[in-house]
Amino acid sequence: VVVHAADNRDGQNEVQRSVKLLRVPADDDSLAEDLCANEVFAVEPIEGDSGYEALLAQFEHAKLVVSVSTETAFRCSLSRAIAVALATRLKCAENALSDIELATQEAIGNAVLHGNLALPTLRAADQEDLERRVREIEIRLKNTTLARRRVTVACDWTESTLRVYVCDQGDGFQESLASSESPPTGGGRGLVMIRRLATDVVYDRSCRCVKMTFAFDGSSEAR
Amino acid sequence: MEYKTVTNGNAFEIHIRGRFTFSDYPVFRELLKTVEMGADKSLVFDLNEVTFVDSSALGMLLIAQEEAKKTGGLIVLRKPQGQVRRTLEVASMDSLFKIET
Repeated sequence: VVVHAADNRDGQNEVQRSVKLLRVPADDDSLAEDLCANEVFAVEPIEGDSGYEALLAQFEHAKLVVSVSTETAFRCSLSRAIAVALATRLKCAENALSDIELATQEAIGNAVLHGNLALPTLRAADQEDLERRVREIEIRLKNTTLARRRVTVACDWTESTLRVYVCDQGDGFQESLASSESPPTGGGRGLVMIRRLATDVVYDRSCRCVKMTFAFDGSSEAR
Repeated sequence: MEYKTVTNGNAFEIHIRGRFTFSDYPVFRELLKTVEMGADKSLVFDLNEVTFVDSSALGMLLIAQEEAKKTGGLIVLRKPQGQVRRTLEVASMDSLFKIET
């Protein structure tokens, strides 16, 4: 599929982008296979959503962009599929790639649960909290407005640095959460782990998109 | 993730396989319903065949630990391997569990 997208407000400089449409419903195997097809843009077609061109234009310089529904991001191992795809395109040590997969998984988890499904952080939880959490997940995944929101992961790299962007379509979160060191027994561990795994972490102003930078030379070790 | 349970004396063992992540909240809820807890019982999560965990999975294990504490029971994480050990360290949660290597 070739998508025509305008790069600026005047609609000038229209460019063509080749887009791999992901098989639906995706599963772990089809997702990994589709992402290894060596296309830059891999997009899940979502009913009622014709606006992904603008999303892709946002990452026109990226080397791998994957955009899926919340439902797919919840059900499938998206971070694994991305790690497999990166392994075929990057020269990166296995343990560094494992840390990148973990940080990406944490960011995707935040995008799905707290971004698109708008679930609060689970703190000091017990079994009743778990029951409520699962019920809320099930209810919100049945809400097509929430389930069809996109999770987009974009990757760009040089010989020694990888940048991974994870973006959702939720309401954004409190920026203070992103900068605080949360207690290990409370919720919000994902953000703390991302900061420990990446060499640099930046959230956009809306807190719907996180940019994580990783160095390949071992500096992605936990700080 | 997949799991199977085995009762072994006073230990209730849960053998987990594959990836254990935020996608597994519904599965883990069902798993906890099968758990037999008690004052003299230990709840053993055998993680030998778990290939990947995230912070949500660790949070679920903490929930199991909280439930075990309510009845005076004990929780053990058995044989966490490479990525699982690494995640426990990165999350600073390796000291929160009894870990059997």
